[in-house]
Amino acid sequence: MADTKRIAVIVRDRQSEALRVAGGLTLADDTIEVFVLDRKLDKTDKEIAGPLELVTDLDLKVYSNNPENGFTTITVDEMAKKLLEYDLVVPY
Amino acid sequence: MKILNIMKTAPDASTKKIIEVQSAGNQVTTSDLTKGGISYDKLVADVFSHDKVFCW
Amino acid sequence: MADKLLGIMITKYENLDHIAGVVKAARKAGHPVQLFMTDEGVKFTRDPKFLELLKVDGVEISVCDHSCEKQGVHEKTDGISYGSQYNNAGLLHDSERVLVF
Repeated sequence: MADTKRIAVIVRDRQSEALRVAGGLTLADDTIEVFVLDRKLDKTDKEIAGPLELVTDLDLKVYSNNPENGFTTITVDEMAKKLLEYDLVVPY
Repeated sequence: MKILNIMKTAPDASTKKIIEVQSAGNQVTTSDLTKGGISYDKLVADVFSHDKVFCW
Repeated sequence: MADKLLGIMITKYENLDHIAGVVKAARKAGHPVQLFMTDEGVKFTRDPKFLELLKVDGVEISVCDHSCEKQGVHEKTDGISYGSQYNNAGLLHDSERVLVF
């Protein structure tokens, strides 16, 4: 499959690993976007700060329904509709 | 659009909300793996016959 | 339709019966299957019941080596490809459908 896919990664309970996976998925030149659901990311936690820096450096679009995360804020309703735009969704 | 939700665990409030919102105007099928009696043949057929698959 | 690739991403050390059930059913339906294990899912590389899947024709299994180190899984298993998140990216890119366990 040569076409570029659109893939969404939903960051839920295992935030560090979810962000690391999101960064890694860019290696096949697909479009990766990230949805941080509910919880606030603890950006002071090194385990989270590292992969978050990767996601930021890669310029991945990040959405969250939690305004405290400082990303593009969308409601869960909006998230539900937006998730249908992707070829694949990886809830992590 | 045909959407398949595969439930590995009981959904939390946000997951329930996502499924509820997506159900409007779409054909939604749920496969609950937390219950017994799963037909994996049917599940695989469903995976390929639906447009979107979510594993919650 | 039958030759469409099914990708399975495993992030937790659970749901083995479901994973095995899906893999076998997909093969019966003619779908090639690729599995990628990361995070806690790498513990399956030392699980004899999971490793039965290596005997199923048309199934490829790869794993994140970094996760193996992090999870303290140091012994390698023949038949499994030890790689990186690059394998996962390829799996998601190439698969017609992806399941996450």
